[in-house]
Amino acid sequence: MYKHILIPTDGSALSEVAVRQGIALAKSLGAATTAITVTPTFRTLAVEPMVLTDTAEQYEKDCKALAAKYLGGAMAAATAAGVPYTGLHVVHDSPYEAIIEAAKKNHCDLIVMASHGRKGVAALVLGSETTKVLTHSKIPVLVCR
Amino acid sequence: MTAEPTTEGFTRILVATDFSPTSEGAWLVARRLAKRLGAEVVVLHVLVEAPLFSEGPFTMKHARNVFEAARAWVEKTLGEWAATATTGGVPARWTVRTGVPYKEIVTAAESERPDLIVMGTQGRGGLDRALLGSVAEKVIRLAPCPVLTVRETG
Repeated sequence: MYKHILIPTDGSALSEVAVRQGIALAKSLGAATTAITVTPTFRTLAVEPMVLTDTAEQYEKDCKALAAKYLGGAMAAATAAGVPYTGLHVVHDSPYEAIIEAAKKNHCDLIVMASHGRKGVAALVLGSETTKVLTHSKIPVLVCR
Repeated sequence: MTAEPTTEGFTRILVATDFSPTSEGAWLVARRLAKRLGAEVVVLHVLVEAPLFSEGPFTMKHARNVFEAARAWVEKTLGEWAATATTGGVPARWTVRTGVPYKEIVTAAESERPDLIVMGTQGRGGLDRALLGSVAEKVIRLAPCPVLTVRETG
């Protein structure tokens, strides 16, 4: 059965649900977990306010801090459950590509993710990154809501 | 395995099948998961009774014969699947519904209250490899529980 579960998180409430569910499933299956969070690359023109206001160095520092915060929750949950855990912070402009690449690189055999992340607007629409992962991933995807 | 207390509430898994190769993969995954988690599986098929057109006075009767034959085959097949799974240590039931597949899968999930739905993407309705199966996409949006999509057999 599944041996290595990849859990993408963006720190949103729903992705925390996915983190919990993924870790619980890993525990039941005796699988390892890797949590991944993706932050966009630095640009001078961007929609992320943080990118506009900071220098590249400051931006990188802020992203690292944010990633550490998002992954910290997953690490705490995995440690509490006694599930092997790795945290992964990837800088990439396209979260879904980063997620699929990370899944391949780390030989993950299941992706557990929320139906929406931060950008999810309505409950009836699937999040854009989730839809893209579902469309492009050859690895099974478990969508939590 | 089945007597083992379940962790974090995966006690019932609903598997939707359209008998395509990917959905057979979903059935395999569901049984493996159920075995590991000590859950029961409910396997569902949705019969689509699309209008059948032909000439002559016996149209409706012929159509019903076709539908009845399909239903009989599905019931027999799912019965065998469930029996095989149960013999293999995974308690299994089957159910057949008639209507629009995604709606019936969601309705079945609402009445069976599974902790997880397992289904293949790119079933028979799939248009292109790059597109997510439309049935799976709708089920993920509307289901009351997590949905595991399986793309390839096994």
